[in-house]
Amino acid sequence: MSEPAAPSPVLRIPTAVGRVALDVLGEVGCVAGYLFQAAREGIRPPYRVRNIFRQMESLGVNSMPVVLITAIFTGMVLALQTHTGFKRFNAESLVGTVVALSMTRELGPVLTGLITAGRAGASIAAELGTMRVTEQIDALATMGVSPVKYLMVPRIVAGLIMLPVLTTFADVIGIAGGYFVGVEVLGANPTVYIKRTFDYLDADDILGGLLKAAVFGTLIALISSYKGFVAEGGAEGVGRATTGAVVLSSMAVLVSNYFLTSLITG
Amino acid sequence: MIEIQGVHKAFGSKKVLRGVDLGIERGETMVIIGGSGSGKSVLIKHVIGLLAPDQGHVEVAGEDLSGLKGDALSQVRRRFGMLFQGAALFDSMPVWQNVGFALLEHTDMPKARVREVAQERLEWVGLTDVLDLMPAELSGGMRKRVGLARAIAMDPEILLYDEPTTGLDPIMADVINRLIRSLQERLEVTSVVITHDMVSAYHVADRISMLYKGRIVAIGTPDEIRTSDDPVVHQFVTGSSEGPITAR
Repeated sequence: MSEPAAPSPVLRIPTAVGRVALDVLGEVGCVAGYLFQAAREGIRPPYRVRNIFRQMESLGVNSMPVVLITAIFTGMVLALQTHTGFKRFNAESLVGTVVALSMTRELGPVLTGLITAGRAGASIAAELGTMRVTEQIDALATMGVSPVKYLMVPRIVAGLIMLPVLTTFADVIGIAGGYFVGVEVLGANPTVYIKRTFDYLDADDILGGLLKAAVFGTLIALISSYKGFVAEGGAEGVGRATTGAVVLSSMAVLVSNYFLTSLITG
Repeated sequence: MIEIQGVHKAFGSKKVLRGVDLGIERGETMVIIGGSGSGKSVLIKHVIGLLAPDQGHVEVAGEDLSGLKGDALSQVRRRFGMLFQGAALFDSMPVWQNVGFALLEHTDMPKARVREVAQERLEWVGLTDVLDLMPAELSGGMRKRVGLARAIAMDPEILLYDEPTTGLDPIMADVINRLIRSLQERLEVTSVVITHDMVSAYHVADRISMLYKGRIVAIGTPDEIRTSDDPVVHQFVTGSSEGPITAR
C-alpha cells in the first residue's frame, strides 16, 4: 500500500476523520476476530483450569480492595447528594431506594468495570505485550500451543466470571456505605431506611447489573489481551499497548453500557 | 526437507522478501547470512509458519505450510525446535518447566519424568543445577543454552536458530557453536541457522547462503563463500564498509 497524496486543505479534516474511523473499524474487526477464535478454541478441551484460577486471582481478587473502597465512598456520597436534592421536595425517605437502585443497576457494574479496565487491563496488556516483544508468544506457537488458547482464553474466562463477583461485592458495600451515611450522619430511621432500600429493588435490577458486568469483564480481558498480542517495538511498544488497552477498554465499558442498558430496560 | 519457493513478503509498503528460493537438504546445516534488516528473521519465521508468504510457498517434508491452520499447523510445528534470539524463555516458569513445556503440554508424561528429561537435555547443553532457577536469574549464555535445551526437548527433526551467538562474548559464542555442531551429530537433525557472525557461520555450516535485498544471492560451501568473488558476498564476509552494500 502506498501512501495517498496529501489532501487539499479543504479535505484535510474529513480525511483525518475518515482515517480515524477506518482505524477504529479495523481495530474492532481484529478484536472480533480474536473473540471468535477464543470462543472456538476455548470450548474445546484441555481447559487449563489452573491457568484460569491464576487469572481469576490476578484480575479479581487483587482488584478487590480498590473496588471496595470505590464502592463504599460512592454509596456514601450518593446518599449525601440524594439527601440534599430530595430534601427540596420532602422525599428524604427515598434516599435508600435511590442508593440501592443506582448501585445495582449502574454504578456497581460501571465503576467496577472502569477500575478493572485500568488495573487489570493495564497489567494484561503489559504482560502479554512483553511476551510478544520478547518472542515468548512466538515460542508458544512454535511448540504447537495456541497462544490464543493458552494466554487469551483464561483471561477472558476470568473476566467473565470475576467482574460479576466484584460487582456483587461493590453493590453490597455501596449500599452499606449509603446506609451508614443515611442513618448515622443524616439521622434517618434505620428501619425505614432498610425498608425503603429493599421495597423497590427487584431481582432484575441486580441481575441486569451483573449481566452488564459479565460483558464488561469479557470486553476488558479481550481488548487488553489483543493490545498485548499486537504490541511491537520494544519497551516503548509495550507502553503504547498498555495505554491503548486502558483507553480502549474503558471506552468499551462506557459505550457498551449504554446499549446494554437500553437492551435490558427496553 | 525444506523447500522455499518464490517467497515474497511485505510489511505495509516495505518489501522485505522479494522472491526467495532456497532448498535445504535433510540432515544438513544451512546457515543464512545477511546484514541487519535483510529479512533473515522474517525468512526463518516463514519456515515454521509464524508468518505466511504474500506470494510463493514453503514446503516442509513435502507438506505445503501455506494451506495449514490451527491443529494441522501445530502438528507440523512439533517437528521443529527453535532457538530464539533472546531465548524467549517463559519468565513465569522455572527452567525445568521451560525445557519440558512441550512435554507437559502434548504428552501424558508424569512431572517427575519431565524433570528427568529436562535435566538430561540441560546436561547435553552443559548446564547442571539450574532446574529450579527462574529465567531472570540466568546469564545471557545460560539463557541461550536453556532455550536450546527447550528446543531439543521433543527430539525435533529440524532445528532453527535465530542469531544464536548475538550478544554473547566470544568464548560463550564458541560454546554455542560447538553445541550446534555436536547436537547436529547426536540428533542427526536438519538445521537452519541465521546469523551475521561469520566466525559462527564457518564453524557450523555445511552450506552457507546469503540473503541480500530480499533474495538469495549466493549459496555454497563455507570455502566457496569465503573465496567468492561476488562483490556483495566478498564485502559481507570480509566485513568491509566499502562496497556495494551500503550501511544504513
